[in-house]
Order: sequence, then C-alpha cells, then structure tokens
Amino acid sequence: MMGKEIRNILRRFVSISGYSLIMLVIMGPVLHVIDGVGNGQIGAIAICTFIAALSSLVFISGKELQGAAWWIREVVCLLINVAFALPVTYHVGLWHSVTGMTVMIIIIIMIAFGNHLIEFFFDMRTASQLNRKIRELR
Amino acid sequence: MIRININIIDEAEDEKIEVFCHEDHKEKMYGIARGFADGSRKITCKKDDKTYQIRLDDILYIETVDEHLFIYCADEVYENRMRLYEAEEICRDTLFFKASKSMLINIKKIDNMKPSLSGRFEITMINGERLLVSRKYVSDLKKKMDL
Repeated sequence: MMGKEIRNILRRFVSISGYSLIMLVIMGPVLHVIDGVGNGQIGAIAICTFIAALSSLVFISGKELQGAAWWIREVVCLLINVAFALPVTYHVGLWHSVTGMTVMIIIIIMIAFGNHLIEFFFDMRTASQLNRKIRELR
Repeated sequence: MIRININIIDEAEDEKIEVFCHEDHKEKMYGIARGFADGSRKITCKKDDKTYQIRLDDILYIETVDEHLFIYCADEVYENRMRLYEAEEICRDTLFFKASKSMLINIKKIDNMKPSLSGRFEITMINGERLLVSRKYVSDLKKKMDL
C-alpha cells in the first residue's frame, strides 16, 4: 500500500514536471512573457512540483467520494498548492504584480485540472473499447 | 444447418450440454456452451419469507449494504445471508466483475458505460439503472474482456 502511494507520488511528480516545462516554454520562447529562468527559480519550481505531487495524498480515502465531497477534496488540494507555490515563486522573483499572481494561480489550476482532463480522454478510449466488447458479447 | 435436440430429464438428474460440431467450430461452440452453463449456476435467495433459486444469468448485480447481501434482477430484489466473498466464489470464472468493495456486476447485463471527470465510470444496466464504478475497478473489467 505504501509502495503504491510512493509510486503514485513519483508518477505525479514526473507528469507535473512535464506540465511545468510546457508552461515555461509557452511563457518564454513562445509568448516572451518571461526572459529566461535562473537556477534559483528552477529550484523553486521543482520544490513546488514536489509539493504538488505530495498533495495527491489528500486523495487517499477509505471510500469513493462523489458530488460535493469530491469537489471539496479537489479545492482543498488546490488551496494547498496555491498556499505554498505563491509565496515561494514570489520570493524567487517569478512574479511581482497582481497580474503575475493571477497568472500563477491560473497555471496551478490548469495543471490541477489538466491532469483530470487527460485521464478523462484515456477513460473515453477505455469506455469505447469496452462498449464494443459488451456489444459483441450480446 | 444446425439441428437442435432437447431431451427432458428428471429433476433429480444433472443437466448437461453435449455439442456435436465440426473441428473448426469447436472453440466457438465451447464458448457458447460454457457461457450458458456458467449462467445457469444458481444462488438461493429469499424474498417475502419465500425461497427462490436465481440463475446467475438473471442477476444484474449483487451488492452488500449494512452487512446484508442484495441480489438485483431486472424487476426484483432478493436477499441472501452470505458474505460478498462467498458470492464472489460462486461467480468466479463467470462474467461477473468486482465493481467496488461491495458490488459485483454481471457484464452480460451492461447496456453501455461512459466516463466522468471525477475518475469514475457510469455504467447503465439493461433495465436503465445506473451504477458508478471507480477507474481502479475498471481494470478488472478490462482483464475479463481480454483488453
């Protein structure tokens, strides 16, 4: 059980690192919003990514949550990430103004829900394959 | 053309299926006969102080609620005193899969399924009833369907 949770955290760390890299490429070379990222800033992003991966422990639950309970859990996870990432990224100079803070919050929300969206697309494929097999069975 | 012969036997005798087929139809015929034989396994259930023998083929899903085992058919719900793990034993090697800690679903009675954003799948049964299954239990369903 512990091993499975550690693997989940590592998996999330890798995927969130990927999303963060994509965001840096979009913000830098594509949109020219930022002009290069220093070692301290990369270190801060890595730490925020690790905390985001650890926040997945919020999803450990004895029973399946649905409806309002599911959304509350999602919001709690998001708040943990925002509460940690905003001061850290401000301290290393990744944002200075209210606009920068807003952009940072939007990026965190996109990463949090982007993960769900990607898993949803994979689930659509699974459902399609299973529906075909179920029809063959009948 | 395939001929069908049905011989009526006494209740005390065991039913059996014998298939006479060509070599290249062997696998398909075995699958059909196996599916029918598995579906004809029965579970003893109670409803309104009466006892019934319910065929697995007639069951949509089995669920435990407050330590009571309920067996859901298309139009009726029955009760049984056994534990879910005992029902799992009876349903082993059949087309029932474990959909949650407290539920077994008959794959043959599923109409369709669709995913939701919350990491669950909504399964619609042939009687229109909807059940929610977590993504982690769908992997068991995929194995049963050889995916």
